[in-house]
Amino acid sequence: MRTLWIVLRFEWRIVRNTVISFARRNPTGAYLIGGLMAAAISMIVLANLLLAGGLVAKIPNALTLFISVYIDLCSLIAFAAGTVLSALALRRGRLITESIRVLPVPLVTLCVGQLLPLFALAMNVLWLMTSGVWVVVMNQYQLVHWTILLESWVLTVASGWAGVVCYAIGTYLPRVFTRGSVSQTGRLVTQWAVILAAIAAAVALRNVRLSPGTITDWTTHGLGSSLLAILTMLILSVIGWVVSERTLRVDNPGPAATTWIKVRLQSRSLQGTITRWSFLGLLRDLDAFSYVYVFLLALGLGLWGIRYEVPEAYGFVSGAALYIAGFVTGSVALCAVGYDERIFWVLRTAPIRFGQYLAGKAWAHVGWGMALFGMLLVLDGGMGGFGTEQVLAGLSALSVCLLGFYLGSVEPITLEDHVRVTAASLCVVFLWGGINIVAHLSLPQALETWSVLAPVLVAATLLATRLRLTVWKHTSLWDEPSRDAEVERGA
Amino acid sequence: MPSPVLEVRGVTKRFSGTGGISALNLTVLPGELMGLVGANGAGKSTSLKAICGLLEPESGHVLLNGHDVHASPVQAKHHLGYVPDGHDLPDLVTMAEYFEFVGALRGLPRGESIARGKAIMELLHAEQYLDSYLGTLSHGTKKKVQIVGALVGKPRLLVLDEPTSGLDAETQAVFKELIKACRNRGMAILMASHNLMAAESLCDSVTLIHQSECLFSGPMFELLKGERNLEDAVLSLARGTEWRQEVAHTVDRLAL
Repeated sequence: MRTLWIVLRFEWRIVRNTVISFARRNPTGAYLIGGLMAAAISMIVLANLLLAGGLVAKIPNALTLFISVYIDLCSLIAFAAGTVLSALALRRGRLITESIRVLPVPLVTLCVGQLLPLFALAMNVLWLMTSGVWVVVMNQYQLVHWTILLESWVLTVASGWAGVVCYAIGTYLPRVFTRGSVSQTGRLVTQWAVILAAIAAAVALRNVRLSPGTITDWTTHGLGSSLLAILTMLILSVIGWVVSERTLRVDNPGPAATTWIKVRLQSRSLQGTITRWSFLGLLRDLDAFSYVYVFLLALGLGLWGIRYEVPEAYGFVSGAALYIAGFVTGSVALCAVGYDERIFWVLRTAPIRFGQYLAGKAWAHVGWGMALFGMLLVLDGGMGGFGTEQVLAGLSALSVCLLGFYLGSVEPITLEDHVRVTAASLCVVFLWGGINIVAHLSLPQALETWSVLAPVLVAATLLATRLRLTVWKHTSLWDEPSRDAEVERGA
Repeated sequence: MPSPVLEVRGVTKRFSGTGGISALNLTVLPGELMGLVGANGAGKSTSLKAICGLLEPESGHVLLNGHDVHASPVQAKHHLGYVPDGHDLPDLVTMAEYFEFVGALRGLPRGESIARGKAIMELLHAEQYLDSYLGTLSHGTKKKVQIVGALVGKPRLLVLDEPTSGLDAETQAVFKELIKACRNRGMAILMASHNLMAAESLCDSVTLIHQSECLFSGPMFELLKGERNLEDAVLSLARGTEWRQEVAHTVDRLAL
């Protein structure tokens, strides 16, 4: 415990110094974030005092709603700020270095030290408190039954923490098993394996919970589909681990390294090609954008739950909203402080390239989002039993998955690429909708599900098109920094 | 005879292609300064990393103060100081905070860690950076921080990987005196270096690695028997006696 305390104290120093350093370099940003956090804290204190004094009941409904929304907004920003600063601290702290690893500290302790950035913890506690206040306020007016609110609140918080914990475990687990030496790709693959395994567990638990009653019920609905979900995700996790283990050897390939990895190491051009197009190459791009996928997962679960009238669904939707707000705020802040050197490079070079960069990235992320959404639908197809409808729904989702992966792998460079991708994405929308009509044999149901994704896709398509064409008119330059230097460098 | 601080028995760590180390055996006693010499890519850094527990060997054992560095790393590393070849210090901590952290993990009170670090830094003329972030320091100053960080915790074994790279001549001289004095007080030191002159003047014993194989490990005087200096001894063991003629022949052939 003493060692852990020393490590945590050192970690706190890094976080504190990061904040100070950030504030010195970006005084305006520091004032803004600090002000909002102060506002959030003061509002939480005020709300608690009002509740304690029984004054809330006397406040008009509109004002209560305003207060709750305001508190939520402030807490979102506080959460995002905490996350950004923690990310910065983690990135710049680099505690698990050779100099540190030779100290008499178990590696697990070092990992725990990095896994618990205290600032994020504080911000998350703040967020949790705010949500609690909101629940109480809503209950006070009996807008929704308190048990439902409490349940959604718990699930929201749990989903938020699950995302953070999974991300952290996925980031540091490989280091524990490889004694600190891990490739970027291995880290990301493991990260995703852990996230997927956690989702599988959550889905399985939910399914069992929703199927109370006899053993027969469990077998036909709960247990069977839970096992299916667990099995699917376990397979994905195992694949992730295997790939991860093999990729780890890229840094230091031994006799057991696969031919693929050797070829990859030997051929620089081939390496570039594989990096650009492969699944692993795509994973590498996800590092700074993981919150988008957590958001999409939460949103997907929420929409899926609403469709089946599951009370927790509202919790997932609000969780998703929290995440996207955090992501947007975080991304802007990250760009501002140069967290992602490539973004920073674009910002420094010319503002127009920033748009170009975003347009290219947007495609990758839309594709990945679709893939993950599709994955959820695969589970959805398997959850309700094994009838023709579900199988068709699963197949349609699988097609979305595959096309999503395809779209995600494309960063259109030329105008032709761009047109090709736009056409492909529209095809996906219509294909998906069409298959849904066949699968569900009910036009309203198909429209319901179709309407969820289609507007998002179309909007994203139009936005990306517009951005890219605008950029194209102004410049034909695309001298993105070489990725070669980043390839397979130890994390 | 005192019990060895470091015992390396049959350590093998191979990489595909070149590099690694094969069946390394060496022993370092208290008060002994052993040089680890060899060409680029011979396996010196790999050996040191395996000794410090940073790389897990395929076979063999490393005992630090009687503890296996891989089976019980915390106990083994308790009296180990290591100066790596690169600069991998955390950027956003000050020098004083770093010394405090390193010392605390070895059971030193806060004030003592910083005072010890400052005292050694004064010898190396870098005490003025005590409150500076490590990320802002120059290459040479970071190396000094690593050296002092390794010494702050009173190690019984000091492992140095090219410790003088990036240091100016004056600091190099002070550093040599520093480790000589540490050796005289009973510290065991294992130092990998390309600088054969420095190794010859400093080291009591030497281990020569060539293409992952250990060609010699023993007292310096034994290696120097019949040779003018360490450079000649190393070259004759690693490349035979004909290497000078080969160089002259190649230069003639290419008309350089």
